[in-house]
Amino acid sequence: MDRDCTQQVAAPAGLSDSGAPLERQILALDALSKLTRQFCDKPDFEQLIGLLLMTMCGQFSVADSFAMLRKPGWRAWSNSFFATGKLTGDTQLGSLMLTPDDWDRFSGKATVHRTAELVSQDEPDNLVSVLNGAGVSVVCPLVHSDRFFGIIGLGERVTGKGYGEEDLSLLGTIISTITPLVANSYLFWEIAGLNEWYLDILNSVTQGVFVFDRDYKLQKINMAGLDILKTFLQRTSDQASFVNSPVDTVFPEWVFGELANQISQANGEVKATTATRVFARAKGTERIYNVSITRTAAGGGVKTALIMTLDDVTIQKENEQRLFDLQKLADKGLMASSISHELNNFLTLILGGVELTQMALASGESRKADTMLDKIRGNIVNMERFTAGLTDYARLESKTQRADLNSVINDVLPFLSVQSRFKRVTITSELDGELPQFEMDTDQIAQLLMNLLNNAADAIKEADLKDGVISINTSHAEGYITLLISDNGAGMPPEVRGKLFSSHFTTKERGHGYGLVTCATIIRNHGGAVSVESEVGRGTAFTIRFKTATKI
Amino acid sequence: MITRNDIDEESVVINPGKVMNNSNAHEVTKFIATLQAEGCKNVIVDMSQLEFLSSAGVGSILGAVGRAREMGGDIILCNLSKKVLHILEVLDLCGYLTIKENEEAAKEVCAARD
Repeated sequence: MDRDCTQQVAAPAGLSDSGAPLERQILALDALSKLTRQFCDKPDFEQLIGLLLMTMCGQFSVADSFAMLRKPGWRAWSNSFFATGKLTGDTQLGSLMLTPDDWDRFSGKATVHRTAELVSQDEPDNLVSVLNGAGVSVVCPLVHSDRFFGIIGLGERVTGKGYGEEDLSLLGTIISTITPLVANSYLFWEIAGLNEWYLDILNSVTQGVFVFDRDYKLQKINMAGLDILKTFLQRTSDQASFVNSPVDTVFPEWVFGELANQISQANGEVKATTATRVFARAKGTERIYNVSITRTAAGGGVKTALIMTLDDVTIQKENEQRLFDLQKLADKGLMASSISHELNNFLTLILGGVELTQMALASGESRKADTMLDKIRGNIVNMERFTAGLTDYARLESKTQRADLNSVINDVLPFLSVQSRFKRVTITSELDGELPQFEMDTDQIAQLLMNLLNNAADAIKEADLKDGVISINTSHAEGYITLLISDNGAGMPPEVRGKLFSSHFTTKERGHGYGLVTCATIIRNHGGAVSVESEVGRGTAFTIRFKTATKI
Repeated sequence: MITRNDIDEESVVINPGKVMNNSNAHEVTKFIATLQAEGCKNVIVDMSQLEFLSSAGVGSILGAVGRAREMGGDIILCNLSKKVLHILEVLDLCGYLTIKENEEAAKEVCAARD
């Protein structure tokens, strides 16, 4: 070792050689007071730990030190590693994943431990063997208010001297003095970690999330939100450029115009609102969004008042429309076939009647001819009724309007009653005379009724009942309208019931599996909900609830 | 601000300025680590301007010494004031650290190692 202390000076007056520990204590006190001053106002945990390690190294003449700390945030048992000297490159120590048991063993221990003593106390294991393998001589747990933050370890002293009792005592004093500062700084580190975590969650949400304060100024926006704004504004902007912007400047006018009412609603008595909205910069550029605006529970606290989410459902809506169109097309095919069959029946009867009339006239049986003509007339009247039912159904207007569910039911029923699948079925209805109107697409509601009633008739046919009954019931209470359609048909086992609303699922020989999917889509489009009760051999009941106040 | 003066590919003189404490201990550590990563075995720390050396400053030097000696080089301190030298004595480090009176003597150590 090259040693040249030619500039060595005498110890300051009043301090003998044995006074050196006092000077070391003064040096330590000075270092700790500087650390405290530096970090009490601006807690930077990682920097503090780095400087603490260097201070300890200087104080105890050590080149190699490390700190292993519980990583704050959601990764409960991961740790952060800081090191100096050779321990910086100690991959085994650096990558050591401490277990809860490893942490627990130090909880409540606020003193300094020689690693050799840890072994002699039969501490289990991997941690101790790694510490010894890395040449760590002493370990100090960082514990404050029963909270355990991690461990600090020091390697051998470069002077070649071991750690005496005075050293351990000074080390313990330093650790217990600095731990409150470490705890305070750790808290800030933890908050930063949580903030990072929350931002990560926020940015992982696929919907655009916009958080406004009580002055309607944007405070947070996630990545999906930025993508939506990029679509609206046709330019790229970062989060910072929107923060503190008023809501009417965040969104372009043609979007804000659609949102304004919903925002004021959400900030009024209604705590949360959800609506499907179509935004169009120009014709042909329509995008459909599910917009949800929620007021925070605490009324906004300091920062937050309204949380808005925008979910682009354009493709989903287009697919639903395609499915709906497909269902209508399939139903039209079935309907055409059914109508053709019914008309053929009438025509066969009429043709037969005409032939019998001709034969009666040819044989001079005028009374018989009259009877036949009456029958022909009766069949023509029935045919007229049948076609009138078709006309009524076709007359239903397809548009969104406030309408009466009972009226739609009454329009649909005459058409059904003449179809052959309903021949053995009695349809009874008990309709609430004071049923409030609600916003609906009458075409879609008619389609819903047709599908459910056709299914009910098919279930009765499947059960081979001669006294099949379908009951239709409407009622209202507390802002809801309830439609109940029940039958006494074959019923369904639970495994079928669970798949009812899945696309392509059907139990019918000639079914296409779109019927109930379309029903579910129609019900969802109207903000409704459906439940099914069914028992094999007893029948099935569909209960559908609509909100009277729903906007579609 | 730390200044640097290259002697040759393996030896450099640095001057850490007036203080080595919490404010620049990280910087000194990183500065020397970068030199070592570039292949510099010997780093002469010219302490002629140094007025204050804290425990953290000493710690930053000790970490660098270990790495330098692993590389077959050293960290050589020179131009120490009495006050600074006294701190190293209190910490019992004079026997461990290579300390020279001036830069020329420090360079001789480097040359001898070459």
